[in-house]
Amino acid sequence: MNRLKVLTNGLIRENPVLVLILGTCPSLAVSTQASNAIGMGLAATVVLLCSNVAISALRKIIPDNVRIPCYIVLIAGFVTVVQMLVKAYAPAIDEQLGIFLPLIVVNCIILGRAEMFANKNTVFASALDGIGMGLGFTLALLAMASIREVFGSGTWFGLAVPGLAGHKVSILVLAPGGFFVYGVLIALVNKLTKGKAGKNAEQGCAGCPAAAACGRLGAADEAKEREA
Amino acid sequence: MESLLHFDFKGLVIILMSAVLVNNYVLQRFLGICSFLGVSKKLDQATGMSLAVIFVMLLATAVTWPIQYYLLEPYGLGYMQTVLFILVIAALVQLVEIVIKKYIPALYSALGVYLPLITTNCAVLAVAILNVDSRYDFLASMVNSLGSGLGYFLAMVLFSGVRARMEDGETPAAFQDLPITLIAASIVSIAFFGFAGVIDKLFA
Amino acid sequence: MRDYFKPIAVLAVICLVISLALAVTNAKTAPVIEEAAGRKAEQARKEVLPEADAFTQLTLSGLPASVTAVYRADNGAGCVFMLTAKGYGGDIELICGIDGTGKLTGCAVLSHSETQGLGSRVTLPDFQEQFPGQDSALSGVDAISGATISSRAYIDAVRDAFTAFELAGEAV
Repeated sequence: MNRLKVLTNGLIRENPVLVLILGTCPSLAVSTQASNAIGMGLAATVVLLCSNVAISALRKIIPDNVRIPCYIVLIAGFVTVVQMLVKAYAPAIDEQLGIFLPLIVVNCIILGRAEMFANKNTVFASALDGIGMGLGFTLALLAMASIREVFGSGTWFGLAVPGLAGHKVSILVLAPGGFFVYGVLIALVNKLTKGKAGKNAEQGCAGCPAAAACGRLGAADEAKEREA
Repeated sequence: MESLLHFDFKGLVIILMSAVLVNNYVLQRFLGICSFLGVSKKLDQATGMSLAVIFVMLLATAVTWPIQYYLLEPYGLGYMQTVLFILVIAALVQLVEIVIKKYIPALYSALGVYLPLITTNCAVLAVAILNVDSRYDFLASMVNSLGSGLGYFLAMVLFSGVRARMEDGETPAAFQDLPITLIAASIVSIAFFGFAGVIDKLFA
Repeated sequence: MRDYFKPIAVLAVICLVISLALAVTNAKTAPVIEEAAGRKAEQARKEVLPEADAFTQLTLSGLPASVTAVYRADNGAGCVFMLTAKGYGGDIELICGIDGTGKLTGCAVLSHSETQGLGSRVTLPDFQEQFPGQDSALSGVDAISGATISSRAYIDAVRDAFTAFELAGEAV
C-alpha cells in the first residue's frame, strides 16, 4: 500500500472520531479546552504508535487465541508509562485529563487499529498508521475543542478572543454542548463526504473486538423481526 | 458533615443518588458513550445491556477493591493498577460468560450477547478506578458502583424512548442516524442538570 | 500439549516484560512526581501566606470536619489551612492563610466541580478579593447571587478555618 496514503488515511478519509466514530467518550469529555485536546490527542498518539509497533512486531509470535489479552496487557502497559510520564513532567495536563488518561486503555481506536491494521501489516506501515490515526484523533479533538472553547468560554488556548468575552454560550463547555457540537460536526462531515461517515462506521466496527457480539445483536434482532 | 465521613446509611444514600442523578455516567461524565449510542435503539436491548453492566460493575468493584487495598498498596505496586484492573475485568467477563452459559442458560440467553461488549466499556474500568480515587471504603464503593450502573440504566432506558420517537421524525439527510441521536442526547443531558445540588440538600 | 503451552507462555512473558518496564519507569518517575506535588503544595501555601518562609504540618484534634490539614509558618507569620467545602457539584478544595493577628491573608480554590459559569464564579477575583484583610467576623463578605450554594459553602469553610486557627493558637 502507498505509504503516504497509510499516513493520511487516518487524518481525513478515515478520521477515527468523525468518520469511523471511535473513541467517543474521551472526544466528548476532554474537548472543553483546546489545550486539553492537544494533551489527550498526543497522549493517545504515543500509545497508539507504541502499541501498533509492538503488536505488529509480535504478530507472528502471539497465538491467535490469546491475542486480545496480549494486546490489552501491552496497551495497558504503554498507557501506564505515558500516564507516569505526564504526571511527572506535565502535571497540569494530568489534572485536566483526570480519569480519561488511564481510560485510553479502553479507547476503541487503539484496540481497533491493533485488530484491523497492526496484526496484518509490517512494523513500518503500522507505525505510519498509528501516527496518522493518532493525529486524526488529535485533529478532530482540536476542532471540537476549538468550537467549544471559543464560543463557550470566549478563549482559545486560554487566550481571550476579542469581541467574544461578553457573549459566552456557557452551555457549550458543559455536557450537553459536547453532544451537540459532536453531532453537528458529524453532520457536517456527512454533508461534505456525501454520507460516508455512516458507511465507514461499519468498517470501523469490523475492527472492534466486540464486533462479533454486535453482529450477534444484529442477527438476533433480524431473527426477532422475522418471527414478528 | 460527620455522617459523610463515617458512611452511615444517609451517606450511602447520598452516594447512591448522586451517582444515579447528579454525576450520571453517560449524560454528565461521558463514560460508556459507545454502548449508549450503539445499543439504545430498542428498549429490550437497552435493558439487557444495562443489567449486564450493573452486574459486571458490582462484580468488578468487589474484586478490584481488595486487589487495590490488600495487594497493590501494601506492596507499593500502585503503578500496576491500570494493567491489573483491565485484565481482571476482561477475565471476569469471560468467566461470567462461561459460568452462566453452563449453569443459568435462561440468563445467558437474555444477557449473554451483551457481555463481550462490556470489556471495552469504559464505564466499568472507570468505576473501579474512581472508587479508588475517591478513597471510598468497600461498602461505599459497592454502593457507588450500583448507583453508577443504575444511572447508566436510567440513561439507556430514557434514551431508548427518545430514539423510538425519533425514528418516526423526518431528519435532514446529513443529520440522519448518529448526528440527530447526539443532538437528542444533548437535550436529555440538559434535563439532568435539574438534579445537581438537589441530593445533598435533600438529605442534609 | 504444545497447543496449551505456547499461548500461556507468550501471555506470561508479555505480562512479565510489561511489569518490568512499568517498575523501571515508576522508579524513574516516582521521585519526580513526588517532588512536583510537594513543590506545588508549597507554592500554594506561599501564595496565600506570602510572609512565611517554610511550613510545618500540625496535628490537632477537634478540628471542624471541613479542615483537612493545618500548616504553621516556621517564622511565625501565621497558619495555612486546607479546606473541603461541600459545593453544588461536589467538593470544593480550598486553601487559605491567616496571619498572626488573625486576619486573612489570602484564599484560593485548588480544585472544584461546580457548574461552569455559575458556581465556578467562586474562583474569580470579584469573589476572592473580598477575603484578604478580613477577621473572623467576615463582615461585608457577600455570597454570589446565582451561585449561593457554592459561595456560601466557600464562606462557611473559611469560617471553619478561623475555628481551626483558634485551636492552633491554643496548641502553641
